[in-house]
Amino acid sequence: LELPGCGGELNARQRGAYRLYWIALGLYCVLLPVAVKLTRHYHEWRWKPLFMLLPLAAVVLVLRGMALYFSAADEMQRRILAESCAYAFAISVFATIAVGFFEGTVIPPIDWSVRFSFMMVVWGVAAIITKKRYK
Amino acid sequence: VKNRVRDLRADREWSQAELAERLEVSRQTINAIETGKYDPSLPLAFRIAALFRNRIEEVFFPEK
Repeated sequence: LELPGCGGELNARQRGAYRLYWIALGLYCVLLPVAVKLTRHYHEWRWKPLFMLLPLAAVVLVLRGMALYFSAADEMQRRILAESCAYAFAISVFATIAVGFFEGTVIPPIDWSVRFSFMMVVWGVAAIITKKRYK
Repeated sequence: VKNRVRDLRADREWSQAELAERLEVSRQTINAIETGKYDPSLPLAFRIAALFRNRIEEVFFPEK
């Protein structure tokens, strides 16, 4: 598994960013169930939504990892990342609009997290295809 | 845009990785430039030309 775009040879800064990215994702996987559990346990406490900020800290670290990775990439790698992100955005928007017409009638309503996951998968696939163009 | 990067690199007996290290870019970028799949930005083109002690128009030139 890799961040969309580069892969293969990573420089020292990219390796550091890559490590941070995966550690933060691991942290998210740990913090999310903890936050859910705490929220359920203290269900009467009025500040319980604060528990849900726990996984957000991990999300911030994930984004920090991605930003560091992007800043450590050279110009061609940045282009690949940006192009693939643009493709993913365009495809996801089209898919969301197209599915929106059928939602609630032919198909059941789709959760936003599914749409986001779809966009991430499309980003990954687009990055692989874009990378091949420059090989 | 065509270029003579591969020839100039070969003259100095540098590997793609070596040239990439000198220019602080990835080896894939050097490969893409040499094969004409990627046109470098003007600053990178200038750095490449300077590294080979050539003028930019001696390294990069338009396709006919």
